[in-house]
Amino acid sequence: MNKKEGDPPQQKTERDRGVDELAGPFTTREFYRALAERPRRRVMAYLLEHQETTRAELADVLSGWEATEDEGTMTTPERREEITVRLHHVHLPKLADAGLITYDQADGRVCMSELSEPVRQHLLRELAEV
Amino acid sequence: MLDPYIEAVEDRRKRFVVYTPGDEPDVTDSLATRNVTVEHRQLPPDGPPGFVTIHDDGSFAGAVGLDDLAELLAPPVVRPGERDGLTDGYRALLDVLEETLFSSLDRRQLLATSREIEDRALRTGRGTLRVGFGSLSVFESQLHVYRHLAAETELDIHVYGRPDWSPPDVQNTTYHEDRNGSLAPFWWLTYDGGDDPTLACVLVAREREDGFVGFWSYDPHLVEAVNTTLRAVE
Repeated sequence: MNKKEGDPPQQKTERDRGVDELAGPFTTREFYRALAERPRRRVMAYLLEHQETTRAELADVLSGWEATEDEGTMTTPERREEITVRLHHVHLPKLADAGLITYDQADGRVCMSELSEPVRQHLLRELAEV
Repeated sequence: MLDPYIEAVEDRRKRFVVYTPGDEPDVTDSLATRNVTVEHRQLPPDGPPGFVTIHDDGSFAGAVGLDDLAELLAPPVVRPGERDGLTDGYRALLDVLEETLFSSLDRRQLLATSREIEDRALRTGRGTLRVGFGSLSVFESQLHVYRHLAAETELDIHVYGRPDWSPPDVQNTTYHEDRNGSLAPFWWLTYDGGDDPTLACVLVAREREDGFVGFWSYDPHLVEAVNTTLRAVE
């Protein structure tokens, strides 16, 4: 299921505790908001594997990922263009605001931030469903 | 004589990026028989099954799951007339793949693609079908196929080959003696689709040490260009 944006957990649960303990730019709210939408979870899952990539490659990955969801379909260049625009204007800035990545809007480079172990563990748990 | 067409397709090299959760998959082997650049990238372990993104001349042409790709790569490809159920995007990707140069195709695969073109001409029943046999004596084994084609259709049939055999008269069929052998190295067919250019198709291949290299295409302009070259052979 796709989580709704702007709908962070109302009640703090056991799993939130680690996030609250984070130092630096992270807050529970920003963290969950950043991971609320599927494309952003997918971006983070890919970055966990590669640490550093580009907006163009992320657009390719999200396009291909979509193509695997229905047999016999392909992602068109037009659809990839939409994905690129959303990445640039919405998803990558949100992830950058949460401190999870750095995004160079000019050259399109995307790097995963150094994450403390508790944050990393939280991230992995959130990404169980991508 | 047909080498420039093979070279032109060779120059438009495509790039395939194969994404999988594990090691480099077998599909990269099947892509190796085509004139494409293949790269592999790792997907997260809990992510999607494999997929491939295809880039033509530097721009994104499409992305498909690996299962679908295997089907797309098997010659002969889906005929344009049977593509009504496909999305525009899928059709566009097939167009890209069709004009991909292939290498190391064997005789069986070339024969299947040739049959595909002959079949289409038979079903359409009109237009011009040109076919090269290297030497006319090779045509002897295909004579029954072409007699049938000529009898069942209004096709204008042109058969090319070195004059090492005198074929019998067949209705609506013209023989062209390739005296200097300029077409002899090639395995080729063209069909102009009659009055429907969307049915036009061409196969051009040349034998090299490790099999045939060549391409097939449904681009009517390319079919016309090859036909113009062929007209130089009387």
